[in-house]
Amino acid sequence: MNRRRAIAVLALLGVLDSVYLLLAKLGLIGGLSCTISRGCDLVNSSSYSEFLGLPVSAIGLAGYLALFVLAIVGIQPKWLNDPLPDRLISLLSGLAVIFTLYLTYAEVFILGAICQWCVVSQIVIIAILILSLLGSRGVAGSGVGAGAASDT
Amino acid sequence: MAGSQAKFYGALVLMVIVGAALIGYVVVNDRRQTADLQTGSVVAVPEGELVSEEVGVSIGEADAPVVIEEYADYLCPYCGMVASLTIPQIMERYVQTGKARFVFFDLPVHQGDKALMAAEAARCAGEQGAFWAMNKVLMTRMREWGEQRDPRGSFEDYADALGLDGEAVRECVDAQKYRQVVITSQMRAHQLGLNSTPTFIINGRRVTEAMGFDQMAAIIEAELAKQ
Repeated sequence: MNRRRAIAVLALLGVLDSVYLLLAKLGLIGGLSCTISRGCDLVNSSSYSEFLGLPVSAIGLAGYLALFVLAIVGIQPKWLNDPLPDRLISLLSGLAVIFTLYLTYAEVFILGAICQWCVVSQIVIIAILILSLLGSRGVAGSGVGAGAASDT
Repeated sequence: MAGSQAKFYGALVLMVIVGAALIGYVVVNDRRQTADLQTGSVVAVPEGELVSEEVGVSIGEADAPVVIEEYADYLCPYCGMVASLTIPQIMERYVQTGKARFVFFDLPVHQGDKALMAAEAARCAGEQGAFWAMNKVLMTRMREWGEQRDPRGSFEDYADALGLDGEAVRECVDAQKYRQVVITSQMRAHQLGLNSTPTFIINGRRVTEAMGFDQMAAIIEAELAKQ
């Protein structure tokens, strides 16, 4: 229960982060605020910021929304003791983590620039995956597990 | 249980509100900064009115009889060719002698950020009085920095090599200080119906071609003869 709630909160964080990145990508806000790292806009405007013609922030947004919905479904009384939401969340966030690793590789080794807002997403998605994996294995007392998210 | 669930939903709603407010704040703040930039350095473009020539970078006597406008992209090979083969002689023969004034306008036509960043780097070097030197270096070495994923390190190196404060140029590019000006310059070109580089407008006469010195000089001489 609490784990799924945590996943819902993390997924929501991911949604907000993706919305911000997407707005910047679409040019609706100026540059990204980039106080901690260097090269946010470089990353967000690079060829790696699009995948199959879609902004990766949009893909991330869709993924986080799906994870959020799964986590919310998972805390409904009917689903509390069912591991299915966790498994779906694990699957989705697992794919997202793979995608994230590819993007992180591009950031660090190809672009040589780091975007803190992308790092936020990376941490969030990994946390969601871990939480959901704990849940799918049926560890922990109340309810079963927790859910996950996607990435930008 | 139901109570704790309600509290949880309340917390989620609060999170959305705070997040939306933060994003909204960034958007509004950014609009304000852009507005400052526009009023602070040229622009303020009334709908439909041609963007002022001031978005270009001008060299030469203000009242020179011939005005040469160049619209170019730092990643366009023909622009690079003109920059090394034609412009230096034009500068020497006509601009430095007061016969012509040369105005450079950014018309980034290449996809991606690199051409834009180069345009910004040249304008950033302009803060240290070296726009033209940087413009030439960028134009003639586009193959070198154009290959790089992130050319900003090269921009910094070029600035250092020109005896400028390379780090200041780098910071200026990072801050996208001149992005709005570059985009406004591009807007002027589009208003004029230009979409290929390099395009020259010499006293109103348009030529979209990588002209050699003789060809450009002939047009300038013809204009001078009209005076």
